[in-house]
Amino acid sequence: MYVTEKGEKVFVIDAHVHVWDARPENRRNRYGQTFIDTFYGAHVGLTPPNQRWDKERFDYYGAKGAAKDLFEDGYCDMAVMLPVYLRDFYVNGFNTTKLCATLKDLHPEKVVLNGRCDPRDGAMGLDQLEEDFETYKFQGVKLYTAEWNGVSRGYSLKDGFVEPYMEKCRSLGIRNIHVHKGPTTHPLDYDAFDVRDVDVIATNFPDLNFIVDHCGMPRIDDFCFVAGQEPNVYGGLALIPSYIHARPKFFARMMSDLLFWVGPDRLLFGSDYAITSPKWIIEKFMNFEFDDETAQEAGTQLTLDVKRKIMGLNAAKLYDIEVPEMFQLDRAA
Amino acid sequence: MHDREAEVRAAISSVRDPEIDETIAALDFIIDVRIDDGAVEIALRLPTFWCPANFVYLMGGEMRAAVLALHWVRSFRMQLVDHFAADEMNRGITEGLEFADVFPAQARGDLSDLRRTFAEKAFLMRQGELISFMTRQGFSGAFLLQTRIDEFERLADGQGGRLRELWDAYLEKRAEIGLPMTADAVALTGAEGIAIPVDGLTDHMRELRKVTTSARANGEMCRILMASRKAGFGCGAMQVARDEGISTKGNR
Repeated sequence: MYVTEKGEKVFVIDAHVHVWDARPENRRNRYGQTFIDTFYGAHVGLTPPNQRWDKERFDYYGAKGAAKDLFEDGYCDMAVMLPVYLRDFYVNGFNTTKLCATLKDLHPEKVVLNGRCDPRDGAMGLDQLEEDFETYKFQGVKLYTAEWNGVSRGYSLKDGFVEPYMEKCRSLGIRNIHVHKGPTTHPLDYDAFDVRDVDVIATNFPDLNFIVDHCGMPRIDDFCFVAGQEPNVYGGLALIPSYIHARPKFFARMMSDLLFWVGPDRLLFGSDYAITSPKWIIEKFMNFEFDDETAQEAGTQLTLDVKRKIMGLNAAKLYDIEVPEMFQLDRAA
Repeated sequence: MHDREAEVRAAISSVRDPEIDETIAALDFIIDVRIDDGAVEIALRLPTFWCPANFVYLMGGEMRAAVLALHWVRSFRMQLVDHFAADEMNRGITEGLEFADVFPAQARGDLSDLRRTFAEKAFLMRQGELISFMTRQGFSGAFLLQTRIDEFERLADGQGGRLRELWDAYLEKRAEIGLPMTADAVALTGAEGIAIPVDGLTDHMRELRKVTTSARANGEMCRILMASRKAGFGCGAMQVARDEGISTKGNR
């Protein structure tokens, strides 16, 4: 819960958090090192100097560290976990469902634990998804289209092998499909972070929700186009709010475009923890206002109600979370 | 020899990161230029170990062409350091191979579609800058959207300065994406050459803004990561450069 200077209470769901293990003993190869090093570069570049971590803690902070950063210091009432395995880089995986579950064990009522699947794993992967679902009963899964998997360096949601996974999600009752579409980190000539493949699958599965994590950044323009057409496509903001300290003007421009094209009802706050931590982002975001010109471009000011939606109410709807009355939108407005 | 290094740097100064339409000089990607008689070697380092191979390949190919165009150059070698596909790309660019030949298992076709996409986006971004500049000077939307190329030329000649720069930059991309360059063509159109409704400037600018925001924000992420990398955070770039015997002079 975040409380404004005027005493208004805001319900906070951080819709994009991880517990990862990038310690040297878990790195399979040089890729494992450079992957976490790149994350750390972003952490250093985006985080205010007095809030930066040392590299050792960044490699591994554990469920207890995460619980403190999110729930004690970071204003979060709840957090949504998005596993990413990267087994080609990390011996036991990077941010596995099992590791994420250690945070849920500490705070079962605060943690929304999602699963993951890789449609390239075919029939075996479908069985695994079912097995994981039996164990964890998650409402959502994460798809990481740029993940390496053996000789494959990424895939597209348009690939034929994806559809059976969506059918499986549908039959299990998994409704929220998180798709990582963020800054380009690998692809070859075909582009595993291309956002437009979401268009096809969102049309074919109108009863599922597609949360495009990182809003397709740097393809926010393509994301806006897709989200504008498909009512079941949402923007997972993670990384965009992280600009708020280092590049506030660009943060304002991105938010204003997203608000104009996608609107305040389909954007979800995420800190991208632990690349950046919610505490300082939320403090800055809750105090952030557009200048008049930006508000005009956005079609709205960053009002308390807009912030309430982005900070928690939108995610609560997707995950059937009951939010107490005092956090609801200002009825008078 | 020093003059030759300056010549090489000048030759590649106009090569741009295709996605964000900024020069590699402005982004600080070049870490060394080595010249041994007619053999030129350029070392570069990107913001991360993971920067997309296809984008890098486009830049590498352009650098190669620009350097080989110098009359005294006999050979070109690219030395990309600390990148997941450095070996393949260095070999491919140095030998002038097609991307699909370098990555036969992964690449689907050549890079022309990607180049086209980026060129169109750059075209729109440059058009947006031109329109903003002229709107601030008081030109109306209706005027801007109906004016012919030769009339823009006369305006740019008359005013010079920033307008000349913006107009030239715009025309360069217009030619690159294959739109008509004749004097009587309407100058400001969509990337497919379709005229913009005379009263539609506000909507059109919204579209342009979307493309520009996205690219600029990504450019900022490149700078953030580049700065971290230089400060010694992120991928141990300096160490690798030393291990591989690459001079990092010219680094600030």
